[in-house]
Amino acid sequence: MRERVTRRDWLALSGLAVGAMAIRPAAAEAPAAPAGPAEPVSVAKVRSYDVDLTGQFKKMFDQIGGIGNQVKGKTVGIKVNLTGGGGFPGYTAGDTHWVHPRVVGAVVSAFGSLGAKRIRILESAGGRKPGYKLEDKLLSGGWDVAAIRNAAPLVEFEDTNALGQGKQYSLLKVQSKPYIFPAFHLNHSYEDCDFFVSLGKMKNHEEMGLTICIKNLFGITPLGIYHDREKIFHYGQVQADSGVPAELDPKSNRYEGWRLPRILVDILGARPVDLAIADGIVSMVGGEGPWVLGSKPAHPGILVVGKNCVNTDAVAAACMGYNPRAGRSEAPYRVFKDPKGHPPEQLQPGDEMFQYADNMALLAEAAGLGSADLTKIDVRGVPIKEAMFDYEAFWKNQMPKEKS
Amino acid sequence: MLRSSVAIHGESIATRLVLLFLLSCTLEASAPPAPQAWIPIRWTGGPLELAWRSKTRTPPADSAIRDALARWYEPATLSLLEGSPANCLLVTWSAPADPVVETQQHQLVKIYAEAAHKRGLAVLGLVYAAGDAPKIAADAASASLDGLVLEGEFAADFPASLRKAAGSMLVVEVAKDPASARARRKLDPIVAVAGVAPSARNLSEMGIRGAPSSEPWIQSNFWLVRSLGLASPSNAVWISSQLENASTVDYTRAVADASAAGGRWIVSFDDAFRNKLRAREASTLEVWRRLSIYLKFAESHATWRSLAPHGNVGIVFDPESTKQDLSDEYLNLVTRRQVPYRLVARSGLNPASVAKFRAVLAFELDPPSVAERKLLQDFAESGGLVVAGPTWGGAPKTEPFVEVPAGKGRVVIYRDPDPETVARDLKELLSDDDLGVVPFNVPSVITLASGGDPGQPLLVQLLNYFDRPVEAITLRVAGKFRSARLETAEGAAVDLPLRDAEGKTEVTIPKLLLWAAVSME
Repeated sequence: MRERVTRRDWLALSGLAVGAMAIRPAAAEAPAAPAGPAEPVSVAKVRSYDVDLTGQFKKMFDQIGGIGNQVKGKTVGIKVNLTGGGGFPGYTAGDTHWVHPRVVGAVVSAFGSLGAKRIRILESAGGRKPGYKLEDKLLSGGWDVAAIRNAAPLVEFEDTNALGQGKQYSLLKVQSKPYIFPAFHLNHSYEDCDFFVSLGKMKNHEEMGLTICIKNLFGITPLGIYHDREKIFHYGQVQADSGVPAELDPKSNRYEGWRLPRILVDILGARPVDLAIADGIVSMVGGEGPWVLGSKPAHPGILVVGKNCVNTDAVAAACMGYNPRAGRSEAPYRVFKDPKGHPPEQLQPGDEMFQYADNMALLAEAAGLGSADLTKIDVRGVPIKEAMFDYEAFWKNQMPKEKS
Repeated sequence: MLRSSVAIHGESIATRLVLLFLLSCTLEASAPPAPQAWIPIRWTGGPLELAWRSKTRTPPADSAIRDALARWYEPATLSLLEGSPANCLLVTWSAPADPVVETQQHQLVKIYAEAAHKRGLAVLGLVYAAGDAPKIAADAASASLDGLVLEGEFAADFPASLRKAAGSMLVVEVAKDPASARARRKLDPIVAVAGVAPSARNLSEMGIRGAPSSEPWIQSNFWLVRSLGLASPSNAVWISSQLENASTVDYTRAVADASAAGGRWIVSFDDAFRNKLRAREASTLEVWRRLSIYLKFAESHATWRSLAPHGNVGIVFDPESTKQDLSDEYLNLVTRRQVPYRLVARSGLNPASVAKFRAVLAFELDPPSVAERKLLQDFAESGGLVVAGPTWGGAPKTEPFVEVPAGKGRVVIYRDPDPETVARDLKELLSDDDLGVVPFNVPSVITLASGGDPGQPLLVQLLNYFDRPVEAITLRVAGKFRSARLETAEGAAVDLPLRDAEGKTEVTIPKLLLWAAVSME
């Protein structure tokens, strides 16, 4: 029988020297930890978006060993996390559920000063609207697009839901062992970049438990190819069009809590991340957007930066007060899904509100994409225990009562 | 109980009536404004008001408030109106009550109305319930009231009886719904209709799980005023909605919500507020002062009301439709989705009337006649977009709608259209050029574009329904402009820098508190 580390244990242990800890997988479904890559991860406490964020990022880049050589003279693609609109009273979308525009501007400025030849801001934003551009989505969040455009010598914006500036979609094969999909068709920008950045927000997620830098990659799949991400990826209700890489086993489990974390790891395997940045300066708990009932804004005051996306998510999860190796029966992966917002077959069992999601970081670790083991990750800057903001404690009173 | 209360006050009422009369004699008389210029305020009170409240089981619980209402027609309350543009008092006039109470009320109101007239104010008598129409009208004439306002439940024939008895005296009927209001537009110079308390809330605050594309739920009279104004441009439009426990911004928003669309809110304070107002409590006077700033802002830009709506989307509107609730919901939700539109009457459909549009919403043509179908088919083939319901023919069996190419344009046919879906889809079916005016970062805001004809400035009004300000709103407008000027009720006008956006013009409004207008030339 495996040793089970509860969230309470994790919170207690996090106050100890993390280098002395050996936390094992918590749930029966969690795979054993292989020796995935581990790179330094930088953690910082940043109280607001009004500080010198460019300087902050340069410092954090130095703490993880520098990125100048990888960026200078190169094309940098930054996948930003935008998601849906709306807002909490007194907060902008960039405060709570999008990455903040000042974080984006500061990162662009930092890359510019490191000599990046071209910086592309990437996100799948548009719908069917003729002529819709990513900049329009940014304006809808109140962003100063011109300021970001002027933050470095050459800044471009591309809506990657469609072909954009490309003539055809790029086929990117999963370089690790695929779980569900062997390859993806993506906008050219994800192939035509020398240095790829996942700039995510540190949030809870209604279905996945957490969304940080790995989950941010879900948005790189173009609607121009996949039409309906829920039907194809979340639920597997339909297959992609002919000519688009098909899933390996169309009879595999259709439950999104099992399926989507694996697909996210496949996406990471297809488009590896060179730099992961998690924005938790201001954020939200209880969901990925204000449309999730019970969610609310929070002020964690945290930035996390690392070269390995899995390492970075693991450290960010720890900074959120979660055990990065938590299993499906523990927070944040034991999730509440509003029955009104999901197909009945996605509520397993059908009369239960409490569901699960598998830990995508552990799945990524098992695929060899990076370690989620804090004992192997060199955390620099502010220690996790000093940076920690306990998302679950801030949120728990919002959770519906579990059936006895 | 009420009668004894009135009797106790009887002597003092008589004394006050004399004082009021003497005071009124000292004021120079000035003519009340014409009905189109009336800025209404609910100014109820007196013994009849309390009797009616008692009868309808809505009496003020607080004795101080009851006293304030009972003594509302003392002369001092008129001075509360100094500095405010409100110039039309809606006073308590008729309700089922003891004849003694009614007589006392009429005596009070008659003297109060004389004093009000001397201040240049119009006075309308509120009629709460059906009664002896000839007597109500005769008494009102005797008190020199400027008109009567019916607000309540009435037997079907009572309004007509009262109009007949009133003769040339104006009778305004507060309609309970838009269809009733439209039916009266040919009868009255003032169309009054029950509205909502304007506000916005996130769906999650209402316990509703939304979707990532969900927008806040906005309650607004904007579309209603606009649709009534479009249906009858010569009528003044009044919105009747009474706010409870309202904040300053609630009151000012109610003014702005009706005014920006071209109407007027019947200024209505709750009882507690009026008690404090009468006592001249400083914070309450400040709320009243701020509300008056918005009233003045609205009236100082009265010319905005005369600007024709600006929009490349035409919505076919049939005042005779039997589905007016549905038609109204299209107007409401298309407004909420920031699609600039103009109405085109079904009876006025012709090639010239649709030629100015990029798209025509034709759900009112259910089904279209042969001539209407040909007209709109020709419109589509010359490059336009027609959006129609299943009676157009060719509706899809499973998908929500199908897009059928037609010459240079297209026809979009819905299987089972609903206003929310259609309004949302319109934003995706139309390009920025088609829309003409596209605002960004406006989930809690409603915009209204008007003017913009050759040689005329384009005016874009924005109204924020959240209590908190919205920052960094961008307007993208088709065409080239030389200047953009931002006007608000809160501060001096400022020029906004213009940006070129691939042949279109963009401006950014740094902060919107409540109501702003951008004039572009």
